Amino acid sequence: MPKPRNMAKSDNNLASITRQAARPKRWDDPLDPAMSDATLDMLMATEPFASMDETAFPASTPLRGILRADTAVREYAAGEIVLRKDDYGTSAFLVLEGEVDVILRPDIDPQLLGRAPRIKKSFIARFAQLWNNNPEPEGWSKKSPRASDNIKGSINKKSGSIYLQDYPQIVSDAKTVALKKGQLFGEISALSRMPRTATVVASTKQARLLEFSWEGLRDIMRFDSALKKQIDKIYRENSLKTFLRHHPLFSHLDESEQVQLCKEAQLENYGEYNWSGSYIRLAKDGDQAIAANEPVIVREGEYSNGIYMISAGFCRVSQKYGNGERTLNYIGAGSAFGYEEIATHWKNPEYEMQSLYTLRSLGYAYLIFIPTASLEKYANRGLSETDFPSSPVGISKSPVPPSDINGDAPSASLMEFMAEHRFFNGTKSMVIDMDRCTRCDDCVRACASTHDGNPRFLRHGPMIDNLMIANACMHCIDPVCMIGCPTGAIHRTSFGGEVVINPATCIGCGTCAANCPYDSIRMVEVRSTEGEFLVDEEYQPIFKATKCDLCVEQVSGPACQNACPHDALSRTDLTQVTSLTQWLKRK
Amino acid sequence: MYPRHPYLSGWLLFAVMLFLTFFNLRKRVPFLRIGSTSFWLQLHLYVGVFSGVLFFVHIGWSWPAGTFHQILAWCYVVVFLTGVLGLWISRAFPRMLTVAGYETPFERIPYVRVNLRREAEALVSEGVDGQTSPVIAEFYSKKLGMFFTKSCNRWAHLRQSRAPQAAHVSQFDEVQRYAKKGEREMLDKLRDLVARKHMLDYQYSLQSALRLWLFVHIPLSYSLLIFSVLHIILVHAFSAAAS
Repeated sequence: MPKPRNMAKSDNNLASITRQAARPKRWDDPLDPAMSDATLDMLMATEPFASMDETAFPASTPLRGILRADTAVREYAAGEIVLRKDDYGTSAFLVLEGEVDVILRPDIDPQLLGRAPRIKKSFIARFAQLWNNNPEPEGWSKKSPRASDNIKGSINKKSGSIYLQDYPQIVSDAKTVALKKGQLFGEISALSRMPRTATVVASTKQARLLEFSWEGLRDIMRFDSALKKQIDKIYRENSLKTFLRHHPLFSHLDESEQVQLCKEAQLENYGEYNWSGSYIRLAKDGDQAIAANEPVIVREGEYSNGIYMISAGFCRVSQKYGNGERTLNYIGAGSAFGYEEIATHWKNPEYEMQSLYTLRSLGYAYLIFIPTASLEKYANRGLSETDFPSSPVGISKSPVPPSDINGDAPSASLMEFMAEHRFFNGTKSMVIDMDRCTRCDDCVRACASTHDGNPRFLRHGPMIDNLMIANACMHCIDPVCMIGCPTGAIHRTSFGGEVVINPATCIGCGTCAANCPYDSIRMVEVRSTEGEFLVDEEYQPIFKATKCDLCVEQVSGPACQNACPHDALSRTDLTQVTSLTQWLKRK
Repeated sequence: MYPRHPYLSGWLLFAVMLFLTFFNLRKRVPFLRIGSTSFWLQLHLYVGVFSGVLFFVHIGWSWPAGTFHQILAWCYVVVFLTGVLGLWISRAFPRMLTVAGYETPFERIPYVRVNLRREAEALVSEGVDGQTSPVIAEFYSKKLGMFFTKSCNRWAHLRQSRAPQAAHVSQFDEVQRYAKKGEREMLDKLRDLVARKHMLDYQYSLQSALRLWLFVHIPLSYSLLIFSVLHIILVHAFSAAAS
């Protein structure tokens, strides 16, 4: 083993406990290792790449490099599923040849789509963890599949792919949209970190598609403004139309009215797409700094000139109280704000349409604004707020928590705590009742025993009263940690949507750990199976990112929760704050 | 002919003790779908109480004679009592720790303690206007040096006594008489550090207790099992010989 020239004799111990290895780099593991130069030349001669300005791309990230490493040419036969509705995908597709159908409605039977149960450890494999786990924590492993291979997970091993048998019959009554050469799809899901909104199936005998990893698409968009504009246009049109079509206020409209409404609606962005960086900086200055930097969307007392519907992100609803403002609620995708004032005015025209509350963006928020004039024309006035759909945040109808009725209302201080720390983002947050927790660390040991001897969380974190939100991955609705991962190693699983890291493609850059606003991702030094720390050519340690994976491979679910002898720990959906208060009030 | 009752209660007690010991093993296999650990703890508690009744039935409500049987009986009693103590500690201490504040993971307590000591020493050696105050330096070295070096007042904290804090308040009040304005400000900062150290000691004392009772309860449980096996062998050997 080569040693650095300046290595002193006393450093021989270092050599005995380390082993040199090549530091993983971006594009070490291309999406398609078999991508040939001929294919690459073909792609460079195909639109939209042919008209792209190669000089606009930096030398470190050339267009050819992106296409070589972050794309793959896939071929699909008629009836073969390209992507499925509700899957979490990290790739987008460009049609190179043939056609594909986007199945809008009705949804296809999940069984036909080939959904299979997630692979769990067998009975013997569960026991074998007792002696099979690597004696050294975080041994280097490359057994996990690539994030962008999610679709492959459900491929029929015999035929090599999933086909919809009798595809013409299945879609005979379905509403579909055909996508042809040069059209892009899947980009909304890939870029917004949301589930696929529709199933896409190859409809012609031979469909050739170019699959982009989301990081590849992101890089091309960064350096090619034309593609960025095109994707923005598609994104706005598709998301807006789908969103409004499914909202009870507008679901009664016919096609032409919906088109008109889409034209009148305004799309507004508040905050930063990658909000975690600024949040982490502001958090150091205290809670007041965070609140002061939240962009105000609607201010209390202002004229209500329309309603805001939240398409993505989160907002804080507050009201003046004394010399400050009290947080009443936080609302997320699917929620509407401002309807209460307008509906009251409809019932009683003497009522002035003044906003009762202040609405602020928490981090990033993507809003659809419907002006009052459009509401007058198109809205279904017979609706009450209770007819609105329940949102992921669950408090879509009114800024006042509906749980007041049941006596489960969170306290004002808890609401402020949740909003200031942005914990409402978590769907599986680790909450600990410190009045019950004996600090025995059985949860930590259980986590270590199911994860290569290394616990994937810290039993420590922000506290309010007897509630602690531990530094464990919350499996966020909006996983900002996924922004910026150069290899797509951090991704959502296809079925449960848990955010997991693929150790095989993690290059240890630390971007995800730096992005996570909750300090839930740890960079750890990896070892060989013999226990030596792996170091690169310059004897610098090689890291990889680790975090809670919610024990996706374990049949028994999260080991931490199961291991707590005092029922003090729970993985709770903080998007539903009432579930937290109910849990805290349990006997 | 065997006296049936003691054999029946004896074997039942042994089975119950095996089951109770099994709880510790269950905690080592969190990946098995055999009910949550909290469910197993509830079982452990109820079966533990039942074992107490069974134990007295087995010994015929009179203390056994003979060294070996007395050791065995004492072993059981200590395991039982440490279990009761553990239950009380587990129910009472978490709330006390939460109310006290300054929550610190047990493994990080030494690190936090060292940081507090460094902060206090830096404050004292920095002095006022670059000059070390002899009064405060002496006060620190005599009254606070050791206090910041190690965990203190363990028993007092377990008893929920405020005497150590009160003693420091009175010492601070005394030294404040001899301090000038700048030194008083420094003393206020030092008071804050002392208050934090008390809270850290409180965390250490109670968290230690939450861990330490298991170091008695679990090893003695295994000893009890071994003694019980010996007891079973002896009883059957002598019974067979007698018959």
